[in-house]
Amino acid sequence: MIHDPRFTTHSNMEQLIFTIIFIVTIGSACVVAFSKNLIYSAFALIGTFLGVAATFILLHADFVGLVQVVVYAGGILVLIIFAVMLTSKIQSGEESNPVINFKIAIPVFSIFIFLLLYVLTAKIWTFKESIPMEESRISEIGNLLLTDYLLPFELVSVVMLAVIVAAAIITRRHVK
Amino acid sequence: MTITPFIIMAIFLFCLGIYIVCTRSNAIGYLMGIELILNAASINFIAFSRFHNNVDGQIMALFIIALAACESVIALAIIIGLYRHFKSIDTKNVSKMKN
Repeated sequence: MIHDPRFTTHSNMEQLIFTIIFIVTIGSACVVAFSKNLIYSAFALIGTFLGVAATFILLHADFVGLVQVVVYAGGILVLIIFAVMLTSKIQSGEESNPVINFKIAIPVFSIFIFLLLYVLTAKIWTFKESIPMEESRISEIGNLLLTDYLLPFELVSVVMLAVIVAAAIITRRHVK
Repeated sequence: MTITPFIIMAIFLFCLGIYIVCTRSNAIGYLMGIELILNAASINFIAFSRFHNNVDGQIMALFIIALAACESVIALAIIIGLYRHFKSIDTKNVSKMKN
């Protein structure tokens, strides 16, 4: 597998693409985290979601990547930007995204990052190289969703119905 | 490619999400942090499913996306309700439960 020259160039290309995706995703996530303006955070979230979708496609999960683009970048993000426009006072020019608890956040952030990197370097996973997958596996996802994962699938649909009703009730105006 | 770079990416996303949840006083800011954490979780699921060569992790990621959509809809509905009531979505101001 390694000696095949076609596969090694493919792997180099994969690493290059991953590096670009990594920079875009983590860079825009940093803008989300450190921006003082809520609008900038909301728009930088686009880069993060699209970068995560590209990561999914790089991991051969093309269906999940497309769902990520449709649901996150198309749905949730529009909803978030809509809510930002409705609720923040843009005209007044005050800081819309102030930072609090900075002294607590830095230790928590560093503890989490060191702990997780420590777990990562503990070498408990023995995957060597990625297995090349040629064919798409969408049909397998569909079969599993309607056989093994039927109960969670139906439960998600019930939850979505409840969410529609709840959102309509929470945001209505009280009429007496 | 090995699994490690993907896990590193998920770790950074998760920690940035934790940082956002710690530091934001704006309720929509919290929501963005939670979305970053959920995205990190799905990257982990999909990376491990890729390297175990099955699709169960992809199905889990689909459930995560569906439930994240539900969660953000409810959260934004609550935020708009709060804004209507308090004229602010700052979590320092919105601390009264009744009256």
